[in-house]
Amino acid sequence: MRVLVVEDEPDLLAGVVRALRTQGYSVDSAADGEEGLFKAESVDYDAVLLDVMLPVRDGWSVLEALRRKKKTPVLMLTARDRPVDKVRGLDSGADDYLVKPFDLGELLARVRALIRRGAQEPSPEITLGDVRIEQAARRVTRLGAPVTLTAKEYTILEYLALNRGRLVTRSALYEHVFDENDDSFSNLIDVHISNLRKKLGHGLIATRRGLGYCIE
Amino acid sequence: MKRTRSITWRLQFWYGILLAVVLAGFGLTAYMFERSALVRTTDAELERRIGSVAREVRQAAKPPGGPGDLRPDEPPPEGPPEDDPGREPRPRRAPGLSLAPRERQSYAADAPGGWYYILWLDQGRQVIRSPKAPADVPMPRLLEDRPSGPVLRARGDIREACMPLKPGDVALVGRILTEDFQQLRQFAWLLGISAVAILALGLLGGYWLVSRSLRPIAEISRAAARIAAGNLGLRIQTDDTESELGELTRVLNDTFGRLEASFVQQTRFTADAAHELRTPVAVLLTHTQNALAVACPSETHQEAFEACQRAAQRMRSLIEALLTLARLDSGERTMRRESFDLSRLASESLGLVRPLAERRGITVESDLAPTPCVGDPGQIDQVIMNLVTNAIHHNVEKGRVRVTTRTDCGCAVFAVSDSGPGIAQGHLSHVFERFYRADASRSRSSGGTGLGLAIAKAIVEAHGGSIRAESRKEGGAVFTVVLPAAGSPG
Repeated sequence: MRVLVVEDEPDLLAGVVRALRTQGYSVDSAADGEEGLFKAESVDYDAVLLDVMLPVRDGWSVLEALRRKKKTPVLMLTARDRPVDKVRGLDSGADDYLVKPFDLGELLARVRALIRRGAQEPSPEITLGDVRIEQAARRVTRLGAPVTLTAKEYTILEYLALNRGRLVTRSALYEHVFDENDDSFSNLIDVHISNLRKKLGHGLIATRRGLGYCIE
Repeated sequence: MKRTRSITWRLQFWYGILLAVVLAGFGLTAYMFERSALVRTTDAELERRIGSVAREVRQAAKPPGGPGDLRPDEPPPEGPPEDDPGREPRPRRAPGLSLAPRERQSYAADAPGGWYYILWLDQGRQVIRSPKAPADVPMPRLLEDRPSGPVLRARGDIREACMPLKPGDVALVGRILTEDFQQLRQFAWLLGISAVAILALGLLGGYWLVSRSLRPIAEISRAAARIAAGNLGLRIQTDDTESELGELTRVLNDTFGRLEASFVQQTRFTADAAHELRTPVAVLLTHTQNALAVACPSETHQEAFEACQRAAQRMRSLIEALLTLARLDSGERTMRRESFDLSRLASESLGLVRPLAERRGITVESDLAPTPCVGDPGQIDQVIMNLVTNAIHHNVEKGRVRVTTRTDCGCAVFAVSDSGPGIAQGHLSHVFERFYRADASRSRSSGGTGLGLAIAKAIVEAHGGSIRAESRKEGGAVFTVVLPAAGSPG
């Protein structure tokens, strides 16, 4: 899952990015509104965390400009907590609203919910035959027995599961699994997929040659 | 304000006394003047009359036949004239008085005025009285060697003038003034009644005048009271711009304006400061939680991060509390007004705090009668939660907390009592102040912000209700919230 964090306070940005990375997200960051909008428009993020008070261009105008082009789920982070601010945020297209200072646990839960909603998957648990994915705990079981996955493997599985029934191209998978700081080659994805097949059975992930992958 | 100390009544009092003194002085002067005028004219008349009586008596003492015989109404005596040398002077006859007819009439029995005369002849051996002369008039003792002139004397209601005629003979003219004094007394009554009437009119007019001129003060004080009650945007309205009160109104309005400005400034500052603190606290919280999410290199690190996290969480609650207060102060926080059952709200809150109470072994008792109430349930719930968690925190181990709701005198009443140590008398009046801590060491460790009761009070007052804290004799504190009941205006 790839997430963009737009926040001008460097320490807070670093903290949120670290927390998200720990959870296995691929995280990009932007320190002002202009940069944030550019990135949000050029990459299909699974979620955007957007601060309201930003230099160059404030969060409201970034959200407005983004909504003209994309439906990316947006979580507004703000120091303003008056009901009118919340109403304004949600009315102008934000999907959720979180007031600073927040608990990391709450932030992460909201991001998970946001991504689920973006994938139209209301349940936090996904069952694929004998494989079961518990998103909150980032745990995967096969026939009730826990399966140990690396962070990248889990992310790839989760993304494919959230888009099950649809073809996921290699480039889309790459875009959602690796962030701007990763310079790994795209064939690394094939390595992760093959590892997933070894751990979860070969029938789970189908390969559409020359196109990408799919979970039926 | 005590009635007897009000300006209206003091002004009335002194003004009434002044008016009474002036009226009494005036009435007394008028009475004295009338009385002395009566005495003076009577005396002048007495002097004139004694003169004419004396003249008549002297003339009557001349040889008979003269024009001034003492008995003019008797036929002239027979016999030789008095200047007959051969005859003994005949004994004096009982003398009468030949006075001018008008004057004589005034001594008659049926004449008005109460005039009379008495003549003592031959050392009082012979007395001549006019009909109205009182019987008990003593013969005046006059020094005979004094120059003969009228001597005035007063006996009760009677004034008399007497005059020696010759040794042994005294004439007296008197007047009974009973009737005149009677009239004088009537005059005094009239004066008194008029004075009382004028005093009453004066007091009435004075009251009207004073209360009319003090009416703007009442308006000023009403407006000031409303402003003091928290409606800082209000100003005193007055049509009176010229008088001293208009000036006072201007000065007060200026003062209220500055008060409002500084209050708004302070509220805005609190809100801004709280907002500015949010991002740094968010940084602190994010990083400590990040650090705690991974295994710490040592116990010291772990403790340090945990302490930082606790501090950050405390700061967070403080920021929220400060902002809530700032919003309640500025009246910005929109308050819903709906009818709800206070007892249901209370029982929901009790369900939430029960686990907290059980951890401390505290029994929560409730007596919740259905209590319809009007206001913002969300805000009232905040008040209830605050008071109940306070009662649990400030309690002894295995203590009791009792929560009641009831309708009392048209008001919805919510009360929480605990079996804790209670609140010392000196702290009771301060517990609703911001950051006031009755027991600094304990409540700080329990993690309170010191603003909970201040927020509760602000919310309750915004609802038009009241909150009070008491210490029970048998121990423990009672907090009582009174809210407008459903259906009551306001």
